[in-house]
Amino acid sequence: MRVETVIIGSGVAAAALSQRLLELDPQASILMLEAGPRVKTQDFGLWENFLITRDTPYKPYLDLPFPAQDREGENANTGIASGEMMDARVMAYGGSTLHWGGWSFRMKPEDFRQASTSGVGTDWPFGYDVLEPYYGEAEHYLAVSGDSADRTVPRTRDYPFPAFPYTLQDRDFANAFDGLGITHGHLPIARRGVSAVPSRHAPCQTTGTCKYCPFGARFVAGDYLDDFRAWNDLPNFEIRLGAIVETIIASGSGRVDGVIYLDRDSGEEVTVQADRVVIAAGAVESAKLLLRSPAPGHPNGMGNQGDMVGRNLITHPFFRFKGKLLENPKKLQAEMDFPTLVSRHFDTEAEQAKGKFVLVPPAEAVKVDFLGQMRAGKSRSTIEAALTGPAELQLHGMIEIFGRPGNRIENLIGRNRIGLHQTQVSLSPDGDHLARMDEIRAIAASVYVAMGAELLGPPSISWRIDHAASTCRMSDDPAQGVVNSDLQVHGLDNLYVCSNAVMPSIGAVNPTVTLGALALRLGDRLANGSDRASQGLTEQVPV
Amino acid sequence: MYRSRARHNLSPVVPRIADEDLQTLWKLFVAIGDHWEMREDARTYRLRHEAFLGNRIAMNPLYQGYYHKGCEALRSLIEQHGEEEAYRLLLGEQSGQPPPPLDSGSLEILRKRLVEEFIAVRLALGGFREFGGINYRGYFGGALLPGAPAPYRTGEAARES
Repeated sequence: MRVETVIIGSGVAAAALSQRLLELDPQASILMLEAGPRVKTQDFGLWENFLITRDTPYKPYLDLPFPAQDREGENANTGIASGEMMDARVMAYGGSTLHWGGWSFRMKPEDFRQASTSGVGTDWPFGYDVLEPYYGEAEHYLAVSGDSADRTVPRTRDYPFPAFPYTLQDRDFANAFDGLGITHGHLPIARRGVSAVPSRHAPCQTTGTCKYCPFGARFVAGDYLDDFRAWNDLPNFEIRLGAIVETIIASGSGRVDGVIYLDRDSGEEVTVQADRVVIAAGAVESAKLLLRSPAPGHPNGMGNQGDMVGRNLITHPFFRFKGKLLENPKKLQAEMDFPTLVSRHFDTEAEQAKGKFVLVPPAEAVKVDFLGQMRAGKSRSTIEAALTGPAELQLHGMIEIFGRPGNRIENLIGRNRIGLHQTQVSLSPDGDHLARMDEIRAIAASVYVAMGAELLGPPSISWRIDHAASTCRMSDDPAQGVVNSDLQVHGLDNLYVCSNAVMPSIGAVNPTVTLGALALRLGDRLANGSDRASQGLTEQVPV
Repeated sequence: MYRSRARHNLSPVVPRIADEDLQTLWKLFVAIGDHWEMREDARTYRLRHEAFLGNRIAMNPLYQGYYHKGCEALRSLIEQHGEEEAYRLLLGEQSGQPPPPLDSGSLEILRKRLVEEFIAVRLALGGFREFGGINYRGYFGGALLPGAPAPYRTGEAARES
């Protein structure tokens, strides 16, 4: 079998890229290969089951925890930080968009020149202004609701939908921020709204069960791919599930010839020849696939001449500060399932050298559990007294870390329950991380005091690799990166990586909108032939 | 194989619940609202409740058995203690001992598969309003419409940065 383009993966990057290529040429020959199965979305029965049990239908396609004394587990961790993979990604059609929260931030201009500005980390090979128009397109593609008047980050195009107003719960945090001079704004969120532009997709009904939305109002790549195929005539676009790509086929002379994948149902190996291969398989699997794919001039894996593939792993340590609200007369409680408020006050150039961070009061900032109390048989009066009495408070956030060669992703012998090769994660914090967290703790304490609450102890910090990135980072210098600014793998004209793996840095914010922007830009460049390979600007990488 | 609606392979296409059980299940659902003094008229939820029962069976065929066994247990509890006391024993704080004539197995089915699930549904359908909110995680609050109040409690207009 021969196709024009093989896209490996079916998440946001694969969906955006394929849609862009097919919008420009509906006859384009594209084969999308997804290792995982389909999960039924927008099903009312499954939604009710989620309501009752909090079990999502994609739970079987999450990584198992690392092995421990009394459990077999999957994958391995050799670093000091947990680098936990369980719940970090979904290995199914649609990828991690099946479970993502939809936080839709743009990186800031200084994030693209991290090393030049702060002396730490590394620079992108292009600036924010190059990606800015694609950020606008990505926000429309993902159906982001946000505050177009907020110029914290420069923009030339409004959000497609207005921001959700602060919840009553978030108002108290906003007041505290105001009193402390901490700037804040609406958190841009991928929840389709209502506008004058008609759409076949349903708007958010504020159902508050976002991890399994019954309406599909939160972007899920598989839903958008299904709709795109159903509403258009795309005769040469095919998606295969249960297709585990084992290796990229090298053809010699600086090109690849296709892929070999394992068909999970039949157990057979299938060879697909392609004019072009795009790896859109997330930061973990993209790096692992390159490492498993040697080629002439690339004995340690494609693009790995500089020993960069899999290295410089970054993510966002996610912290939670618990507090105690002394009383709750306004009966504050979670009425939504996504946050409406964010402070990017510490997401600035001045904070970059130490690691920027953002503060987000979660949807359940005030923890109230009517369901648990009723199930425990508590009386109405007891529940009401608990509601207006002392309550647990939470303030969350994410902090930026910097790429280090020793923080890496590698293949591990053995298959996981999906059939993918297992993963070895090595992730360790920098020595000054604890000192930085102490600074953040002091800020959280002052916020709680301003709210009439008290901080309860140190934060819990999760090093789960939801936002894993930089494992195939961009650099126009082959010694410093794996792909160039066109996302083309160094030394291979027709092999591309389009995942969080290519981002040299991710600032302090979720990388999904940035990834969408990169995917749409890649689609334009491939379709218009403006990428270097199409222009015959092939690379000569020293063997 | 892709199906248009998720259903367990062993679940019947048309769930069958005996009329007597359907009535018992509905009365339990109403009793939950009464026990926690939920003021809204439960009758508006009857069709949703029946749809919920059918969906649970579609997800897991064992629910046909759970519902029947649970109803038998509830009817025996009512026969022994009278309706009001039976619901008080069932919905209030549990002592750890099953109230007679129930055994621990039938009590577990009744509590876990009926009572606890119906509480979650009742709250999500509108019972949550008793506790001050106008939206709830599980309730269809509606879209954020231009010019209309938000479908959740908001703060006053924020002084945004």
